[in-house]
Amino acid sequence: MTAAADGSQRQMADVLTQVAVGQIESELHRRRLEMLPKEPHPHTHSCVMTLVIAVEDERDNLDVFNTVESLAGKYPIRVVAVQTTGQRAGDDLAAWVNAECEGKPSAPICSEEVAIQGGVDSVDRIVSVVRGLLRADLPVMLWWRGGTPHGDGLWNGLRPLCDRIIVDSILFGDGAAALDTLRRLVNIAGKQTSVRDLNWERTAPWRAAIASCFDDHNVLALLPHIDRCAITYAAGNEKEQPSARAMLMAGWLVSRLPRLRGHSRTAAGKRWADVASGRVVAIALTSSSCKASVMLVRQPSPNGIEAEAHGESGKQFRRWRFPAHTLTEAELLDGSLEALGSDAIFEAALDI
Amino acid sequence: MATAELVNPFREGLNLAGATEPVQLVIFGASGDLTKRKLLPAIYNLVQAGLAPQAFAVVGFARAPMSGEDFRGVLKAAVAESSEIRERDDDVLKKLSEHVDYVSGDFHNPAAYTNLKAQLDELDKRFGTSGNRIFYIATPASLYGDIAAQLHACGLTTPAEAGSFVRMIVEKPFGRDLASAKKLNAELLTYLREDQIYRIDHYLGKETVQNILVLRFANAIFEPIWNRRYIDSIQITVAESLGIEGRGNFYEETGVVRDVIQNHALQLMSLVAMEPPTTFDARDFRDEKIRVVEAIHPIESSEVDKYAVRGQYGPGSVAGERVVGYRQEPNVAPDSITPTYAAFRLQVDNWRWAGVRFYIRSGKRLPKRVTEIAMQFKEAPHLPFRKAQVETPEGDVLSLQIQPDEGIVLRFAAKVPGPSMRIRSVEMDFGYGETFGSVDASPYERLILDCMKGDQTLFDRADGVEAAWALVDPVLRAWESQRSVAFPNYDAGTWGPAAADALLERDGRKWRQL
Repeated sequence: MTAAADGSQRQMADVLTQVAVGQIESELHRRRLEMLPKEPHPHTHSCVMTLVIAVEDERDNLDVFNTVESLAGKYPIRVVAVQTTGQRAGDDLAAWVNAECEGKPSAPICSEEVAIQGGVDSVDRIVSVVRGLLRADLPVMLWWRGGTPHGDGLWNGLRPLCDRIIVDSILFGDGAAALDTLRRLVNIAGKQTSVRDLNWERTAPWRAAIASCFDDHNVLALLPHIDRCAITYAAGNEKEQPSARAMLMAGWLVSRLPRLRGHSRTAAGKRWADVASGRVVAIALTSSSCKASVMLVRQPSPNGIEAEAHGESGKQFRRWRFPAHTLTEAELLDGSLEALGSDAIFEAALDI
Repeated sequence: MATAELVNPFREGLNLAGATEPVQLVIFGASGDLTKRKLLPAIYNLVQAGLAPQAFAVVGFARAPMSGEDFRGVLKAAVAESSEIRERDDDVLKKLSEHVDYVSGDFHNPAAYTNLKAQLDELDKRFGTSGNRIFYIATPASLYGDIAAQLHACGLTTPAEAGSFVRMIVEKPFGRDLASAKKLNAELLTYLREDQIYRIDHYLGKETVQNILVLRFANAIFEPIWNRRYIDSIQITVAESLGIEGRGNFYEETGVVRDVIQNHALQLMSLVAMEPPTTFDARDFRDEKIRVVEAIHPIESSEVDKYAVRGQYGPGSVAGERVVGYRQEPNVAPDSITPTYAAFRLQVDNWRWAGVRFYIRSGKRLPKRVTEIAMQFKEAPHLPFRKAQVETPEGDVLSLQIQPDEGIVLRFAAKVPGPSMRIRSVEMDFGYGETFGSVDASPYERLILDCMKGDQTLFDRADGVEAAWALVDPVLRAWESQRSVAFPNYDAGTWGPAAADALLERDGRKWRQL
């Protein structure tokens, strides 16, 4: 989050200025002109993308604002955040803007933020405003910050405008439902639009840890023996449904090592009561023919993943500790914006 | 199944983080300046960014008597003092320090290598580095051959385990002329295969240098005009405002041609002039890069004055500071003929570039630090505007700026608003920093990481090094044999000797005002 000069966190109201919807572009232009004398390269107006954010729940506005603020200074982007709310009448619309530069004085990174809020009947108006605000010829990312989007009017209007859809399957319900939604998104998106899932990004430390274990050629030599995998996720009780994260991990392991298909299982780990429900806490890659295994377990403070490799006789011969801090929403979004194109590995992991 | 045939199926699609195999990095010349200023900060940054493997060890080797604890102190100081550290993190430094050790020994003493091998074997067991080793030779070039021979004699040039690797990074200057470069290549290739040798030129690790390739080969709009039909000439400038910074002994032996022209400047020229490689893999890319250097019209000894100009700075002022002349610098001979400036006028004998002049200049104590490649386009064949209304536009220029402000600038003609037709040159400016944020990964980080991954694309190959030396060798020989030269011939803080201007004026051109 960007800190104000006095060290306090900035509030939305301090940053965004309300403008008439028809004046958004001219107000942004006016602000750019205002910034010219302050910038050493006033002729530069870089922009790499338009990020459209659909925020389902008004209670999330501050979190989203803070996430966007965290990204300011990293990308020269135009952010357009939209929302429908029962607080506004019919098809009423309101808009706010901000434009500012951060980073080194010699190479400032300038961003524009636009927020649009409308009544529940304003979807078509919101979409038309967004369409006019897209930066020409640049990629358009849609961050859908809400539950399952299928059937939502705003979703139906915004999706065709976008080159990439970013969702968070943690908001889509239990694992099976979440994966089903993700599969449908990938199918609907087709080849022209890529889909990214912040929840998938949360599995990255586990995937990196497993890959690092097998970078050691002595561990890699065990690979032909590995034919079973078990993923344990934190849960309040044993009957809790598998989390999307656990299922994504299982899907990834099976897609990378097809002989695991039919031999992977997810299980609730009750003893991890202090860990947020749904998080992956342990992964075991084992053999049905010998005692070879690679076991990974979540470790608290400092957050990390401890791993051990056991040879065919069961004797432990390697041990690692991988750092794995909890990624913030801003870091997850950053990773999703930075990667280019579709993610074939993610899409393959959905096939479970 | 042999492990060599197995591929880690979990690695595909992951970010670069940890995408390298376990490895030991052994630095020869670990007590030297390069290690402290560049290598240790680069290694720290790789670890901090999660790009180094989990199973990783760094071992310093040098003559200087030092303990492992002392060397860890060098690491700590390097991280504290280097401006190249992106994020100082005590936990990262602590973790890295636990994987750092030092072996003291004479580079010529076989016992030192036996000691080193024992230490590396022990670290293999302790850190699980799987017998993978990279030897970074940051010593004077005169030691390269002997170090390779000693490593070979104690079995360190062959993989320690089945499936493991041994690689060697060698620093520039790679030789001091064609003969010595050939000798050095022959020595190294006695003990190592070419695919184990990584000849580093840090210029190729710069983001903006690599962006030359993206600009050329990922954009269809440039390729049709990237040839003799549209380009009039190309100027490559590698200018330094600094002097020799107390390195008189080194510079007296080196000079600007060996220090910059033979490597950095010719690298830049080859990237601009090369044909598109079929793929960006090491073989295809280096084949094309070397091919274009080999196509540069050779300079005969008798024609050196026609194609090259040398200079040496005298006293003057740079950025408001009075500075001494080269001959007054410490450890420089009062009658030194070492050139601190050189300008070359080159041409490439191939279909694409026939008739296009490549002008290269590099010097110390020039007015500013700037590296750029400027493509000067031909003038429009006919201007349909009535002459009285036209301010004669300068020709269009595409400038690829390497440092300090990385970016690309296109200069072209535009109409000045108003009732009359006035044309003025304007600039369209793409700044790396303003678009992608800071460009602060050091070239050493990128190149060490590439070596860990076994990617030789951005490293020099033996024949490439020799082709570059073959081009400058006649010039060096001619200049070193003609001792009666009127040095100094340019004042510190100016753009070089008058003869350099004359080199272009003969062709009806002038150097860009930077």
